[in-house]
Amino acid sequence: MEDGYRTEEQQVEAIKEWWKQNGNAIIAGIVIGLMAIFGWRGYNENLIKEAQEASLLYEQMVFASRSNDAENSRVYADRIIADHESTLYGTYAKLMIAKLEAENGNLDEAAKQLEWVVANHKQIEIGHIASLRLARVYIDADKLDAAEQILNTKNPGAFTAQYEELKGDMLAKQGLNDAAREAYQKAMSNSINSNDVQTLLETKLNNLGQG
Amino acid sequence: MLGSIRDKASGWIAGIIVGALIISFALWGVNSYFGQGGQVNVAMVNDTEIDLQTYQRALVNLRRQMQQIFGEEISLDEEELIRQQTLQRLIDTSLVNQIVAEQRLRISDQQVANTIQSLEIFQDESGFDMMAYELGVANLGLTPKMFELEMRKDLLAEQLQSGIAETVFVTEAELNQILKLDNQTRDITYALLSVSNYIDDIEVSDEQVNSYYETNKNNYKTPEMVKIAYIDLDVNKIAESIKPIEDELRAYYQSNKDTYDVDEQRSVTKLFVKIDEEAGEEQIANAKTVIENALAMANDGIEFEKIIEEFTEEGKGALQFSEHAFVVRGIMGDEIDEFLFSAEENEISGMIESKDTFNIIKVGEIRGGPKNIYEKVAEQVVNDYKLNQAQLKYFELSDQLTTLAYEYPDSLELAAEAIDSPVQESDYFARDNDDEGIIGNDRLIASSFNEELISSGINSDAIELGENHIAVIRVLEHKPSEIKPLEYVKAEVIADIKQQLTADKLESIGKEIISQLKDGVAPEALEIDKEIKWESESAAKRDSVNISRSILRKAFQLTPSNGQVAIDGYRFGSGDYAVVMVTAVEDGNLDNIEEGDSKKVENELKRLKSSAEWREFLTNSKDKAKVMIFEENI
Repeated sequence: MEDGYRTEEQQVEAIKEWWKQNGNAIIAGIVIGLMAIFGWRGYNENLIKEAQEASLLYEQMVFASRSNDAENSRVYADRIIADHESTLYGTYAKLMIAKLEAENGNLDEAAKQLEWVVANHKQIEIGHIASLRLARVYIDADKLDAAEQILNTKNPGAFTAQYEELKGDMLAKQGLNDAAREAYQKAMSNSINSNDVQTLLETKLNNLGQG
Repeated sequence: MLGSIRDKASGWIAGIIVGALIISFALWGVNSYFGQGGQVNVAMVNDTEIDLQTYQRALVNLRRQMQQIFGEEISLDEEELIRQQTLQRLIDTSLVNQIVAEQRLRISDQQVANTIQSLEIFQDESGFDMMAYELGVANLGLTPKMFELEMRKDLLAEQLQSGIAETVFVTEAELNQILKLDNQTRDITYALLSVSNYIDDIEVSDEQVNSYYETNKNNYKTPEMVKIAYIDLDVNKIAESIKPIEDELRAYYQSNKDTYDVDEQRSVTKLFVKIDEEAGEEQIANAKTVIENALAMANDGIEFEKIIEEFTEEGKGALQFSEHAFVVRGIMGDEIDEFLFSAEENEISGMIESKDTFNIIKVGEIRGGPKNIYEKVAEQVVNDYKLNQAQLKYFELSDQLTTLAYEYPDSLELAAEAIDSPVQESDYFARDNDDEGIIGNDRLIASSFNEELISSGINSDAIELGENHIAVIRVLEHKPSEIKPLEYVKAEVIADIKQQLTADKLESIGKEIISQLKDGVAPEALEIDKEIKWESESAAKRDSVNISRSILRKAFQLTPSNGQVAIDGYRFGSGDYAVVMVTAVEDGNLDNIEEGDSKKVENELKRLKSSAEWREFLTNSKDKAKVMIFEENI
């Protein structure tokens, strides 16, 4: 240190001087830092708390559903949607209500829920699953134009087999057997299908005869 | 340098720097500054690594499961499959973990704890058993903390998946359509042209034999065979040869006592009178009288069970009886333990006063503790000792064997002498040998047909045949695969030609029949050389057992349209040929389907749909992700 301090006293003086100049700024820095930390942690903890609440409600919903308890499935789904609609738990709760409605024959109500998920999903795969379910509801409700619009998606991704299968169902319903056969054959050409899926597709295909 | 920092670190900049440091340490800690250097990875999924250790642990687990399902030995192909599956599973898991984090799914500590406590393997009669938990977790090669982390990940993945599986639905129309299809029936008429009815009509010329043999030579080959010399070193065989002397066994038992001994446990029966907390002196005196009477009877040799019966009969109900099988110290309370763990079997205590009870106890059977003696576990000690000694010997011998076989590659004799084990010779065997014993072992066969070993004739490396079981081999003779001369296989060739010609002929007859039928000729009026027999089955279901599976399958591929009968043929692997006609199709009648059956189909459909959705969910995510596999590290 070329400009080193000669004595201890001088050093102490220098430190005191330095602190006088910068002390306030450091204390301010610490205060800001701490505020930032607690603020950030508080924000995070809040998110975690909310997610945990939603998670517990979700577990209840799944438990009710596994016990075939439609009434409570709906109660918990409604509560999740009321407080946590924007989470994935919220999305799953919508899918639950869609299922309950579809199984009760309320196709319009089921479609409404699925339409919401298709429009608001945050995970593209969930979007595909909701779209496919929606297309099935549309086909059942004879809304074939709406179904066709979904099924003609440009990006079916890994879900091609199911899109093609539903196209087959839709076309067969319209009596367009040749086109339906072609769709089923396309669906069958996917290596992703399990044996059971393949058997079902074959059954549907064979039922149309050989053209 | 410090000087220049001191100069510059003034004013508000210093404050900001200090503040920033505080934030970063508080949030991320010091840990993140000490990265885990030297970690070997087998794959990367987006930014997440899968390290070698994790991979190996998963591999061991999956292999263990496979062994439990398919029995002891795992072939090389299966081993490869297990490796691939392990890796794919880890990649899937990693991906799911990432999605779960992205989607902010959460599981509270309480949920994790509840799940672990409800697992059956961690339970004993009285509920969750901490010891069993720690032991079980350690067996998996994990700490409780790691296990809890894994459990949390599992539960989160479960949540992600159940949101799809539990919300899947099948509408009534869809279900009805499938039920109709499933229960569909068909009216089937068919004829079977069988090879055995036609084969004798076929004549085969020498010329045909020659040309068929020339073009299909490869069907008439002897298999490639080898004959090997080998040295087999197996820890279990070494163990058999060990003749332990008793002193050694006792010494072994003493130094491994912990593994053999059980905690001292004693059975006990108890007669007792409870005293209320607020009991007055009189009540206490009464209780004492009761227990003293009981004690007197017990001392007269009357069984506890008899005593309690009498007391109950006489309405002196205060006396109670209980029986405890094999309790350890610390369960019955200090006062009782003092007598229980010092008395002999069948000894009866005097009156023991514990906190709010007067007791008399009788010691039952004793286990462990003083009963932990060598004789009780002698058989197990002998086995363990032998295996232990054999293992030490095995490590030494396997080292010698491997070294000598390598240093003197042209002979096994030296190695055999050194480890005092014979060089054995096999007979000739082929690749598909499935002998019991080591010549049928996949790995040994693979080495025996190794081209380098065959051409050089040198000793192999040690071949791992099992746990602590190796062999070193040398190929003695090699017979390459050869085409058998025609004179040896002429009969075989003629039979093959006849079979093929017959099958071809049946197919052409079948096709002719089909074309006539399609032209509207009635089955009885067909113009063909041999008479054929038509069979019919009306309203055949998909699972009908009256018709061969293949014909039924064909029939269900045929759907008549526009009032036209649907016709097609089917060539069996055996050469037989079936002509199949479907005259009518009837959808299943929903009124005849029982609710239970329709529910079963509905659940089956849901399962099918949701598993397809999940499979596609994973695949689609994987296709989007950046997955790298480092084959060189596996």
